[in-house]
Amino acid sequence: MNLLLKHCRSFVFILGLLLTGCALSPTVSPPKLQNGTAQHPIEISGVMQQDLRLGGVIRLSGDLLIPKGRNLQVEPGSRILVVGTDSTKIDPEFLDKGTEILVKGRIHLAGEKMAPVTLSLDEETPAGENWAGIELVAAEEAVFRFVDIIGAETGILSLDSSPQLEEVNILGSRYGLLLQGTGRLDYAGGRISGGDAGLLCFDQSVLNLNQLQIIDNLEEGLYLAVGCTLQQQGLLIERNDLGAVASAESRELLAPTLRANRVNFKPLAQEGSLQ
Amino acid sequence: MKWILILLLLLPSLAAAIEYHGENTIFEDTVWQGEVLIDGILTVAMGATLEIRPGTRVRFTRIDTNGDGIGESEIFAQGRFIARGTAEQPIIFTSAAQNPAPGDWGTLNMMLSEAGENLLENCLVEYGYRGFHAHFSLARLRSSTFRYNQRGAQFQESTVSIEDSEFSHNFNGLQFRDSQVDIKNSRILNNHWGIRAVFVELQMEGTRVEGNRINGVSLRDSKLQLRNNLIVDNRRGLYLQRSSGKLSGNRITNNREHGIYLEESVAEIQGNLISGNGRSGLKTHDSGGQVENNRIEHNGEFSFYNSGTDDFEIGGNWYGSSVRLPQLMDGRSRAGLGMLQVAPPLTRQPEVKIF
Repeated sequence: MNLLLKHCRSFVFILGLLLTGCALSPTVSPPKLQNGTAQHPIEISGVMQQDLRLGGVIRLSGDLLIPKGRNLQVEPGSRILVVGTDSTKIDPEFLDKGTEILVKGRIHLAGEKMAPVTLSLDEETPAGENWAGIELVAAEEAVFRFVDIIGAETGILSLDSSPQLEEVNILGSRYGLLLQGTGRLDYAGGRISGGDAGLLCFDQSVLNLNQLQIIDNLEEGLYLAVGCTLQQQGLLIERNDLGAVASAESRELLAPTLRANRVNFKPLAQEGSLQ
Repeated sequence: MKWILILLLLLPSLAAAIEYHGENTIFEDTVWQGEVLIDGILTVAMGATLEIRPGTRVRFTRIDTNGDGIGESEIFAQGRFIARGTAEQPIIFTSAAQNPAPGDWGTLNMMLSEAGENLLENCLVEYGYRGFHAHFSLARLRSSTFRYNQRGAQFQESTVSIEDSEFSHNFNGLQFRDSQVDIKNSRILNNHWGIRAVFVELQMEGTRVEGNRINGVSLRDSKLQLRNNLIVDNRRGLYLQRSSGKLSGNRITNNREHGIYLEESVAEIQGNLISGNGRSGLKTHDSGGQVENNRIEHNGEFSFYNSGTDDFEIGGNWYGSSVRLPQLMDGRSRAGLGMLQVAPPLTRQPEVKIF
């Protein structure tokens, strides 16, 4: 009985310590909002050492890496101005010769309907240069709401990631959105327009497209390799050169989405390749 | 006492462990064998040679004073660096961390080391930022593996020969600039970029470039000769910008986008198999050259795609049968694009000699 009592006391003591510890331990507070202006933009580049919460005018003066465990939060109405690099750059830190945002951790671009987040080239960029775009490499989280991505080489490159996009416009980018590896894309609202190719899926991603418009791209609107799975509602693929390129079995699913493309549907080669 | 002596005799490698802490310089010829720990930056001074014997394991501690995520321990060779292992007893350069990760340590750095050839033979280099780095240097990499580095190898203003080596599972495989590089019988596998280079002369033969997530081989402002290589299952197989190239006997297949993409480039493409690439076999943009006697079959959308405004001439190729025509995308389909002037298909399948 004494032993039991002793154990009970120990239990209560430990429980008390735990509760006190919980009460007294400092809560992890969100990072302080840093606001830039046109005259004094927030400058960011390099490896993100801590979580950041940014608003106003933000200038991306070089490659930015968001490592695993780090979070970049961008507030409604923010303008991210990317200083593009000239094409003599050989030593990119990450994936592209152009200025890039490489995400292995978490990114939240949280625009609002009347205050979208925009990403575009800074006026200091040499003529004819693009910026690379946002690259998700096994990213922990990528949530974009009311975002305009303008003039990138690849608006969003998703490698083994699962981005969630709502009302995102990807405009005038060579590739709009490119999916490789596995993962899931949830894309509701918005459009991919004015680039070479709209949305390309090369491996085994799942695409859940809702009310997305893929319009006015010079090459393919939508390219689906054999391993990609498409779920769609209200998808519109219009005025591209090739509306959709996919396996012949996808023709029926895609037919209602295709309108006024030079070629609405082109099946992928069926014969299989030679090894 | 007797037992302690016996134990010491049984553990020669532990007894002979070499450690360098902080910044150190080797001024005289030095030989390593056994276990070596680098905990800082070790410089091999000009005029000195560091020789590493078979079976040696060199470990680097993770030091990251500026918090950029890149380890700083490294070997900085201004003198000569010779690491000659054997197939049975390779030399290992690795992280000292219990749970190692790419970028734990800096690099095997050759700087202004042109007095004699630097050598890595039968080495395993892993978990570095740049597994191997050369600047104004001569180097030969033979029968060595570079894996799990941020970059497998990187050269600038150097002459580098690579034989029978593997660059796999690095974030990026090989990057180089202003260099002469010769790659033979090697494997460049499962990196994000396989090879990326500018202002270089690259000769590559008998090499497998496979499974790289972005481009297999990407060159800008460069000269290229590719013979008998396998370039498969990358996103783009070969991407040339403002470059010239000669390609023969290569198998360029199953790349997700384009087998070959020429942008403002000139290429002689003869006797290759270009097959099963997702978007096109050959995409050209304001480029020229000769494309003939190839087998170009079963590419996903197009055999040839001209996205520029210049016309492009294509000689006789085989498209799967004597009556089969290539799938084309050019000014006939979209106003403003240049034309593809395509010769009649070959009536017999050309021999494509591939290793």
